[in-house]
Amino acid sequence: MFIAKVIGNVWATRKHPQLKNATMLLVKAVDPLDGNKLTGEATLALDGNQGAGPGDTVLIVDEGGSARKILKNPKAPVRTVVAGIVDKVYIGE
Amino acid sequence: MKQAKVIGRVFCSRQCCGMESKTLLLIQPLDWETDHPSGEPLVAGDTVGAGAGETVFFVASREAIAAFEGWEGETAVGAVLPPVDAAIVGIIDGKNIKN
Repeated sequence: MFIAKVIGNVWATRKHPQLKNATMLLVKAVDPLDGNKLTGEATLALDGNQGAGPGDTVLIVDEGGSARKILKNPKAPVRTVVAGIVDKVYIGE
Repeated sequence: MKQAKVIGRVFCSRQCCGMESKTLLLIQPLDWETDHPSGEPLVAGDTVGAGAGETVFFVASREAIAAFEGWEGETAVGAVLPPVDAAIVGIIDGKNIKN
């Protein structure tokens, strides 16, 4: 899992039948030690009933089995899913 | 899931188990933010009827097979699933990126 920021969204009329009604978000990983620094390449993630939108900081699961469990669809061809919305990251000693 | 552009089609007269009647497309992965090519072109199975020049998104690794599992084209129980490692799962109409 990693923390990411939602930077945008994507829409598509023709898509896989298991992705119908799915919200597709573009996310980019956030440096966990510096919430304002984005790292790596943007990737497309599905919203797992969290209602996340552009600007939100989210928790991303990047594994197929867990992703299908979150979406409650054992046939979804998805690996990257928004599993939660991050309120705060506390870094202590 | 990654963005890609369809740049061609691949035909095979002899192919392995479960690959029959599947469309194979040659795609060039693109960066989501800049739309610049990122990485080498690859061959992906098609589940949505994409054509040359279209911008699509695809899943890689094990999830590519899952794309054919829950597909309208072939959902028969016990059907042989194609051994693919990339599958096109949508044609992009548009995207909106905020910086």
